[in-house]
Amino acid sequence: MTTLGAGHQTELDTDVDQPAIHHMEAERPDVDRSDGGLIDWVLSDPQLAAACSAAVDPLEIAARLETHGLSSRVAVDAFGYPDVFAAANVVYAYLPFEHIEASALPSEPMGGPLDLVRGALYALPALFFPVIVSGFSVHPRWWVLPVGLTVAWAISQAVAAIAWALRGLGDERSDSLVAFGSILVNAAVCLGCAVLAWWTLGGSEASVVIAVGIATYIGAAGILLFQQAEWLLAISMLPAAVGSLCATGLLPFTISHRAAAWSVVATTGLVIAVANRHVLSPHWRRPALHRAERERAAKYFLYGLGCGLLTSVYITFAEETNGGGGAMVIAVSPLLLTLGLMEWQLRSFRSRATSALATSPDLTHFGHQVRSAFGRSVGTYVAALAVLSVAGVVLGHALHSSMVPLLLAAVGALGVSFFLALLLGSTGRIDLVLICWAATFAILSAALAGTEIIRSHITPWAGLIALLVSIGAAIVIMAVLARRVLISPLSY
Amino acid sequence: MDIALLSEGTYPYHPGGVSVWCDQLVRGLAPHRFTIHAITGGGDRDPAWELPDNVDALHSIALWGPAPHPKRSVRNSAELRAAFEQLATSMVEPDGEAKFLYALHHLFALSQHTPMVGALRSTESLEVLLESMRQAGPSDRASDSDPEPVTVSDARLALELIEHQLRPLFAPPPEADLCHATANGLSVLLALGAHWSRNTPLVLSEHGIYLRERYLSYGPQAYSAPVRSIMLRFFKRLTWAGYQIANAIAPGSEYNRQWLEANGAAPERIHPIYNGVDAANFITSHSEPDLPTLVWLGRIDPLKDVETLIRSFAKVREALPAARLRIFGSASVENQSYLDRCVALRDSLDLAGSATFEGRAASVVDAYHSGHVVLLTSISEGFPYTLIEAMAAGKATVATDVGGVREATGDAGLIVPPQNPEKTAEACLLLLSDPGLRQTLGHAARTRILSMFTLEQSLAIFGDLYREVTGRISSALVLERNQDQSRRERDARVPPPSRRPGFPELATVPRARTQPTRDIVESGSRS
Repeated sequence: MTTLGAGHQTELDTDVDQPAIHHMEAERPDVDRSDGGLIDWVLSDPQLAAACSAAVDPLEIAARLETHGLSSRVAVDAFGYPDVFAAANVVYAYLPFEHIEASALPSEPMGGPLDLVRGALYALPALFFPVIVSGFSVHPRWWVLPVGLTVAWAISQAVAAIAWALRGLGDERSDSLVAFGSILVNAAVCLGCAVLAWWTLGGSEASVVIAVGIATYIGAAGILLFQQAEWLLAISMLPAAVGSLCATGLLPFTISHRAAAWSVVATTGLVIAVANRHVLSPHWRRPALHRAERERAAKYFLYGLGCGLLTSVYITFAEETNGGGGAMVIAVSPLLLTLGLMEWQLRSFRSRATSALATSPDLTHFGHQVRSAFGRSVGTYVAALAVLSVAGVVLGHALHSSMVPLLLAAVGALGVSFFLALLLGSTGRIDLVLICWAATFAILSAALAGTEIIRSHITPWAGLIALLVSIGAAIVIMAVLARRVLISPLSY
Repeated sequence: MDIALLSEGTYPYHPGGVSVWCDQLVRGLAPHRFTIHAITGGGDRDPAWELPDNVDALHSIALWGPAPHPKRSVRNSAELRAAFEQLATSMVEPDGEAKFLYALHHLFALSQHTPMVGALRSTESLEVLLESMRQAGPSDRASDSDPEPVTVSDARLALELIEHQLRPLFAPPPEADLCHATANGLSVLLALGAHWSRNTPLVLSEHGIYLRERYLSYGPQAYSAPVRSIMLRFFKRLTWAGYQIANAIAPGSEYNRQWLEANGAAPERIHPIYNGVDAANFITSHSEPDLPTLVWLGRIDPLKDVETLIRSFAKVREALPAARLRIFGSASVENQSYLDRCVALRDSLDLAGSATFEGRAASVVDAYHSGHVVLLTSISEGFPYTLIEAMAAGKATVATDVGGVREATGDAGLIVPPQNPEKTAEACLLLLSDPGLRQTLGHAARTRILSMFTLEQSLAIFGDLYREVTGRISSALVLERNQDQSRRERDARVPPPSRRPGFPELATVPRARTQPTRDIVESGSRS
C-alpha cells in the first residue's frame, strides 16, 4: 500500500479506521475543511490510496475519487472543496508519487531443450516415408516427395496465417472450419498436382496416394501445432514412430515391414482425426477475413511454396546423384536433427530481443543488444549444423560417397536460409523473405539455364552447385536485411 | 437531413446503454436519414442490432485490423515526420492543445493524398515519441522513489496505441449535413475530418464522459506510468479538440457538465439532454417472485462493477439466505476475462446456486419484473438506461451515486456510495424486507419517469438541436425548447440534503451491522 512519509503522517489527526462514508457523514454539519481530512479519507481505503499515489494527472485522481463516492457534492459537503477537481488537486499535490508495477505483458519465453523434443516431431516423419515404400513394396516416382511437401508447406503456411488472424480477432469459433477446410484443401490440391505429375512425368496410383498422404499428414500435423496440441501429435505419432524404429532395427523388437507400414497409415489417420476433433462442435462459423488478411495469407502461401520448391529442387538433384543410397540420409540428417534447435534459437532470440525492449533506454542500446542476440542465435545454429555436417562428412567418407560433402553443403545452406527466413518472418516481414526467395529462384533459374546452354545437360552436380550458389545469395541478402530489420523495435 | 452517427465500440455491434440510445435516436428521428460510422476493435463482423430502414449505410472503421505495410517514401516523408513531431511535442507542452489540433489537421491533410494507415510506425516516429515521453512523466509531483525510466518498450507500445487510435482520422470523412458523435474521443477524429473537408457541424453527446472513462481504464495495473502519462495526455488533448469543434455538446446529465467545463467545453455550448424511455414498453407488474430476488441488467464491464454487485449480494445472503441475484447481460470479447473473473468471484463466495449469470435478457421488462429490486453498481455513468427503464417499470431501485444517477432517481430510489458492498447490501435488505417501501418507491419512480424522462421529450430536443446547428430553425423555437428543458433539468436536479423531504419509512431503518446508506442517514437524522 502507498504510505505517506513520516513527516506527513504526523500532520494527520483524524481517525483513519473509520469507514469511509461514516467518516464523511460524521463530519456534517461541521465539515472538516483541512486537507488532512481528505488525505486521511483517501488513505483509509488502500485501493484508492494506491490508485491516487500512482496517478499521473490530477484528473485521474478526480475520476478515482468519484468512483469511490467522493463526488463534487461530497467534496463540498464533507470536505469544503469547491468540487471534486479541487479535492483531486490537493490529493495529487499531497500524496507522493508511487510507482506501481504494471502487470507485465506476457513476455516471450526463452527456447530450451523442450524445443528439441518439438523438433523431433518435425523430423520423425522423415522415417515414415521409407517405411511405407518398403512395407507396401511400392516404387513411388521421384516427384512424390516434392509434390506432397511443396503443396503441404504452402497451404499450411497460408492456413496458419489465416488462423492467427482469426485468433487475433477473437474469432475462435472458426477454428474447426479452418482445420477441416485446410486438410481438405491440402488433400484436394495435392491430388490435382499429383495426378498432373502422373500424367506428365509418369508414375502410378501408388505415387499419387503417397503424395496425397504426405500432404494431408503435414496439413493435419500443422493444425495440431497451431492448436498447441503437440502432446496430442506426439501420442498420435507413437504407432508410426515405434513401428518405423522397429522396422529399421533401431529398437530391440522386430516387426514386419508391412506391419510398420500399416502403423504409419494408422498414425496418419489418427493425426487427421485428432486435428479435426472439434469438427462436430456446434460452433461452426464461416471465417470472415479482410482483404489485408487474405493478402497476408497469400504471402505466407508463397513463402511456404518457396520453401517447398527449394527443398524439392534439392531432393530432385540429390535423388539423381544418390540413387536411393545412404548418402542422402546422411546429408539430410544435420537439417532434421537441428529442426528443434532452430525453434530453440528462434524463441531465444525473440525472448532476448523483447527483454532488450523492456530494459533499453534508447534505440542505440537496443540495437547493440539485438545485434548481440542475433549473432548468438545464428552462431549457435550454424555451429551445431557445422558440427553435424562434419560428422556427416566423416560418415560419408566411410561410405566412400564423394557426393556427401556437396549434399551436406546444400542442406546446410537450406537450413541456414530457412532459419533466417523464420527470424524475418517472425517479425512480420514476410515480404522481405519473398524478395529473397524471388532472388534465389532468379539466380537458380539463370544458373540452370546457363548450364543447359553451355553443356546441353544439367548434371546433378551442376544442379546442386547452382542451388548452393542461389541459396548462398539468399543467405547474404537475408543476413543483411535481418540485421537492419531486427534492430527496429517495431519488429516485435 | 442526412446525419452521420459516429460511434466507438458500441452501436451497432455491441449491446449496452449507449447502443440502446443510438437505436432509439435513429428510429425515433425516422424522417432523417442516417449513416452509421462505427469505430470497432477490428473483430466486430456482424452487427448486434438490426439497422432501421432510415439507415443508408454502415461504415466500420477497425482500429486493430491489419494495416498494409506503408511504402518507404510515405514513412520517411519529412512532412509526416514534422506532423508527428508536432503531435508528440504538443502532448507534453503545458499549453499544447491548439498545437495538438493543428498537428491533427496536418496529419489529416497528408492523409488526403497519401495512405496513412500504418505510416506512423517508423523508427523516426518512435524516437520522437520516446523524447516526448521522457518529458511527460508526473515530474510536477513529489516522489519517494526514483521516477520510472522510459524504455524503448514503453515508446513502442505508446506509438502502437497512438497509431491505431488515429486511424479514424485517416478514414474517408463522413458526408452528411451533420455529424453526431455518441461520445468524445476517437469519434471526434471522424468529425474533424468532416469539419475540415466540408465544414460539417457537430453535435457531441457525452454519456459516461469519455475522458473520465479513459482515466479509469488506463489504470496503473494495465500500463506503465510513462505509457499512461502520454496516452492520457493524448486523450485529454483529443477531448479538448472535440469540445472546441462541437457546435453543441449534450451530456447525458447535469452532473457531467463539470467534467466538460473542466476540460475546455464552453458553457454556452453545453445542453444536457436526458435519455428517455418509451413508457408504453415498460408496463408495471404487481406480481413479484416468491423468493427475495435482486436483478441487475447491463453490459458486463469493469465500469459496471459487477464485482461489487456480487460482494453486496454475498452480504445480503448473510442476512437473507433465501435471496437470489439474477444478472442479465453479456460481455464483449474484450471483457470476457472480466466476466470470467466475476464468475470466479461468485463461485469463491459460494454463490453459484443463488447468483446466476443469465446472458442477454430476451425481454428487458420481464427481466426487471423477475426481481423485487433492481440494482445498479456502476462506478461511472451518464444517465443509465437500466435505472430509468426499471423506474419506468415501477421497480424499486438501489443505485450508486455516480454521474446522473441522482438526477434520474431524485427521491424515488435509494442511492449508495460506489464500491461499497456494505451500504449496497443494507439498502437491498431494507427494500427486500419492506414491501410498502418498495411499492412507494416504485410508484414514485414511474411517475417521475413519465413526467420527466420520456423518449418523446428526448427525441424532440435532439430534433431541434439538429435543426439549430444546421441553421434550419430559428433560435426562438430552440429557446422555447431550451427553456422547457431547463425547467426539467432544474426539477431533476437533486436539492441539497438539508432541504430534502426524505421518506417517513426510512426513519425506521434498523442501525444494524454496517453503517446505513448516506441517504438513509440523511433522512434518519432529520426525522
